[in-house]
Amino acid sequence: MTAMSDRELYPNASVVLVAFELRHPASGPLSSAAVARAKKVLAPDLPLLRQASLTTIRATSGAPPEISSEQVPKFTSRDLTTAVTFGAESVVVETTAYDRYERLRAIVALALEARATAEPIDGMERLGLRYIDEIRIPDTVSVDETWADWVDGSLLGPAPMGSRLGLLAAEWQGLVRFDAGPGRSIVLRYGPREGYAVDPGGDLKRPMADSGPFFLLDIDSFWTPTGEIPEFDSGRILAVVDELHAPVSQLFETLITERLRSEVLRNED
Amino acid sequence: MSHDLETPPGGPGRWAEQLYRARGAAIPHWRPVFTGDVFEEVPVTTSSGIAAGRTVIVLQHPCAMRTDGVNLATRLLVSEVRHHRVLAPEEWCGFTKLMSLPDLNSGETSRKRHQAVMFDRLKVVDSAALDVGRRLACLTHVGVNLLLQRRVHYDTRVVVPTHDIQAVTGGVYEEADIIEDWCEAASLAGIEVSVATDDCVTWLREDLGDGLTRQQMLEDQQNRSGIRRAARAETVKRYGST
Amino acid sequence: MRTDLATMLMLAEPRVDVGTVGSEVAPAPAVSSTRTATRILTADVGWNRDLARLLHRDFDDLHQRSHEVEWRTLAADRARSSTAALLDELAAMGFAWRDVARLVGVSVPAVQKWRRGEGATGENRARLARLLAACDLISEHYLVEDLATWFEVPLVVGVPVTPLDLYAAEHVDLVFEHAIGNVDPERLLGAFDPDWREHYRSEFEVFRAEDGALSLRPRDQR
Repeated sequence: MTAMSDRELYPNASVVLVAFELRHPASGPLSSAAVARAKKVLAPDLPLLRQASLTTIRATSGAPPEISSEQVPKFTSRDLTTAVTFGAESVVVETTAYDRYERLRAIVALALEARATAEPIDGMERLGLRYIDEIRIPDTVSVDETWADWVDGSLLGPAPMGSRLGLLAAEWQGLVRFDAGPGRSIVLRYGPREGYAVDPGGDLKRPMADSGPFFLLDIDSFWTPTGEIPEFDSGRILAVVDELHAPVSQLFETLITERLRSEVLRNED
Repeated sequence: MSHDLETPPGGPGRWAEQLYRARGAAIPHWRPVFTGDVFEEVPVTTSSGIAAGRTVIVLQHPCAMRTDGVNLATRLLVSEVRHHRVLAPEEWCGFTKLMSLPDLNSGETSRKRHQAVMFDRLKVVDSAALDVGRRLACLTHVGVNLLLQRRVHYDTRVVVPTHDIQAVTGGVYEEADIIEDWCEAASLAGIEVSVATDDCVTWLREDLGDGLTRQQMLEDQQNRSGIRRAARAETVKRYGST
Repeated sequence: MRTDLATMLMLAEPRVDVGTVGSEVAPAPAVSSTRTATRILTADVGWNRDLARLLHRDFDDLHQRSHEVEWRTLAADRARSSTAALLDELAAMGFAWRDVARLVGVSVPAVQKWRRGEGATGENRARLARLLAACDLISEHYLVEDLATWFEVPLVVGVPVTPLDLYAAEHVDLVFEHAIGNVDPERLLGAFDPDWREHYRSEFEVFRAEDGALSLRPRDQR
């Protein structure tokens, strides 16, 4: 595995959102006093508090789908790039300004401290770390270029085969789940897309790009308990998150070409 | 677009409802004295050294009005209020030494109906001389913010947008509303206003853990409705239903 | 228990083309995903993406129409209660009397008179009923638990426009859209005040002074 200090930091990185999620047994909405206690812990880094909506669509066969929404406290940084959200069943840490894992880890540690200070959590049901990349190619590149020059051939599916038969692959979507050890999986979602993977109109300010074609790499590394639901333990959570993070950058580097690295990711223009 | 002195919202026909929370007999006597309160017949020393009764408005910042959260500071900064025609909407960015108080005396038909705060007629008065029975008006939060904006500009020539002033006065204004509601419930149960005010402030300043108090929590608008509910429940517990 | 979006969509009654003999084909198994508070626009594989898009679009139209009808129905129901009962309920939710006055379009002393037992006009009682009906609708459909707080919190961080301001300005449609939660709040602000960015641009920041009180100072321009 690549040591954290050995990983290259790209000046024009393609990552647009990194998220951490802890899912826990339902604890009910936080009281005003609990939110105030959490705010004290988070204030130096995430001083802005607002109520945010977490929306769920539930659909059952034979019945019209229902939209439901819970109002939850969301703490954001002043530059609106990093946020911590406390739902009734989850703690979510997100950033659109990711540059190194250590910084995200520090915010996750702070979020866990704040949540524990607010009110107790009864257990850990799932831990997830998700990296969403929008790989975009500069306009200067010829329209005849294909994604084959920028991402590994394994991500192209049967598109090259279709091309030999005179069939243009207009769109494809891939999903692979890798078994990464006891209780651990990595789900890779990939494929060419249009527009944005991460909503540009959301609460967090994201790196701006013209709406247009991009190649999605969505790497979701997660852990679920194999036996009983363990007690909440922030030290253990951080150790698991370190393990979840370790294979992610290696997987990403394997899935991109050297041309993408040198002409796009390392390009400071 | 640069910021300028602001006009009350809604146009001249709505300024009175935008600026005044209550006027005259509609002001409950248990509402704590606050920035923007207008009192009549307050003893002041005029420029010629004579003691006279004047109409004044409290200019002291809400955070600086009380020594202990309950009792008014011994002396308070006020400005005289005198009759003046209503400023037109486009005139509010000028006339910097005054703030129009349209329809302050809504019962009058003479030129006394409309008044204005005169920032060049500052006085310091004994707070004991501010008789709640002679309170002519309490301002809304919009009115208090406009007053502070114009006063700061008169003193320093700096324009601070009222939405910025709101961010630092919201909690204290909320506290005044909570104290008013609390004292209303208490007075219906026969409790004196000063005792009820003391009880309410003590409750607001109760340590909830790690030095956090409800008074501090009021600074964040996300906490206010929760504390209002808690205050109402507390008054029912202490004084019964109203 | 809440489950992932992909799983939930696959259980829906299909209204999209599920492919040739699609209804006979077993759907792909659900895959767990780390959830984000930020909206991710790329749905999972297969026809779920189209279904998600259709559901969202249908729901936008459906919600717009059904809100108005439901609001009127709920308001008529609420109007049967006395003024005192309506006010008690607003107090129990945590609304400030000055905000009730503003939302209903009367003065604070008018509300205080109603609380002391004086009657409100039919029109004012109807306005109180409509306010409570709006609260009913938002809380039932969008599971907003603390309505009074929800009304007081700005749509966008750093911009002091709240659902209270929208409602008081008779933009109740924008209040409902905000409650739905999948509309860009900056778009709602633009509908309310096209110049909001300029109006609320600030050169000052709030800080806590040495004496513990909140104060203002110019922002660091560096």
